[in-house]
Amino acid sequence: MDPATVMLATVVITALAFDFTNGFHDTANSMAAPISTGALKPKVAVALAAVLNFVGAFLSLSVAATIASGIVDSGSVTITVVFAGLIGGITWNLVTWLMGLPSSSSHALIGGVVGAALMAGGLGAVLFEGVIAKVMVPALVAPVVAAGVCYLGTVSIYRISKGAPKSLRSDGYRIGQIGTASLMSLAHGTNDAQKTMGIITLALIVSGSQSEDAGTPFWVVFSCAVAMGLGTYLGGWRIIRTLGKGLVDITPPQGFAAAGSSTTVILASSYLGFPLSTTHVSTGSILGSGLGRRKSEVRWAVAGRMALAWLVTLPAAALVGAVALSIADAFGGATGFAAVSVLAVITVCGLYALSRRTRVDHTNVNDEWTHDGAVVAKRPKRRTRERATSRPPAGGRSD
Amino acid sequence: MTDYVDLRALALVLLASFGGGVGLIALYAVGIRALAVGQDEGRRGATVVAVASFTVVVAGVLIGLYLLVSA
Repeated sequence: MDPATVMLATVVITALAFDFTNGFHDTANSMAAPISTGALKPKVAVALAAVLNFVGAFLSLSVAATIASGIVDSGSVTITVVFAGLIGGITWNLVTWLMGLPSSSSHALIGGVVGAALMAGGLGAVLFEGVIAKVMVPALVAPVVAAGVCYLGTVSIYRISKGAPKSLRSDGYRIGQIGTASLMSLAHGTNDAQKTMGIITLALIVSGSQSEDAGTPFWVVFSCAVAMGLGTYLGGWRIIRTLGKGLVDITPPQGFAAAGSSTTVILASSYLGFPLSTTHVSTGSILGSGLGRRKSEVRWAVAGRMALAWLVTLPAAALVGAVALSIADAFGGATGFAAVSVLAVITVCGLYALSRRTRVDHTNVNDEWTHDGAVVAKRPKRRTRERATSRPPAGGRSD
Repeated sequence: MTDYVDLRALALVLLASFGGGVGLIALYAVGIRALAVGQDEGRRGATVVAVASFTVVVAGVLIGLYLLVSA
């Protein structure tokens, strides 16, 4: 196999790995609220999200190949820059997953590409107006709009359905949540899988394996859909827990308001040409649901950590992207790609090993949130755990 | 449109999000409330309101699905 083919294959595999992390990182966006309120059992929720993400990936191909357009100079985008950018995106996705923090996978990928392009072509390679317009402004707008919509939605819900029996309210809003969260999962599959399809198509074009007007091959669409679906099914439990339990203790009416607001804002913004991050929108909605219900506690310390993570996403991913490009360039060609891949695998294994210390999965994702300030709850010692298991399991709140 | 923000697109997003989002959520709540009144007091009018509300919400979801596919 010639070095160019090895490099192309490495980029394709890395892009699919990014798609996989994108899937499990963003499961929380649509399913944190239904899981937290007990509308869906955790495993059922992630399975439903996985199927809908898989299906969603086939619905539209209109935004493929546009991930970094208008943000980096297209002349400076080489296959090495794309590869290093993906490494930056994957690394930041995994670091934030370990910390249980929702952050935008798209912004992480853009950050990685920006850092690699900066290292490859200097300041002229990055279009800073594009970074402000396509990353920074939407990052500020998304949570504010979503929080506003959800705040008003939550207030309306509690005022309008005040006299309805509690059981009817709980069941009704749980059913509503399943519908809106499903639509959001579908939208996520449609929007996010296309980014990876675009990257793989771009790599095929840059390497001369495909002509520019050939479109996205079916095997690319299918493999991206599978990677996204598998990632979603794995379930980013740490982030689901933070969004569903850490930020606000969500009730079924709040969960319905949050899912409904997120879905509306995402669909409206995608259709009207002002794309917003699903992560920022979902987080804003959950925050708004907490503000809209009296006596509901919003944990501002958790919100602050999330905001900090969002601020750091672009520079942190850019730093990793720049370092990855430097290493790839230092070795050169396929050897450089192999060296970066080995380092990336070691990093992934290290982060996974760290995650095993405070394991969060479908069995403890709905446990009560501890107030010790940690985003990821520490697993209790064996004796405490045995005592805890004698209690009935924590389910969703009724109202 | 400024150099950094497409203000027209942003205004449309705000309008659609607040109008559509809050509207559909509130309508669903009206449906729940009407359903409760229909069940408790046996008023047929309330049940009709509930069905109409849920129908509009389902139509909204279908429109969302259409936007998703056609975007």
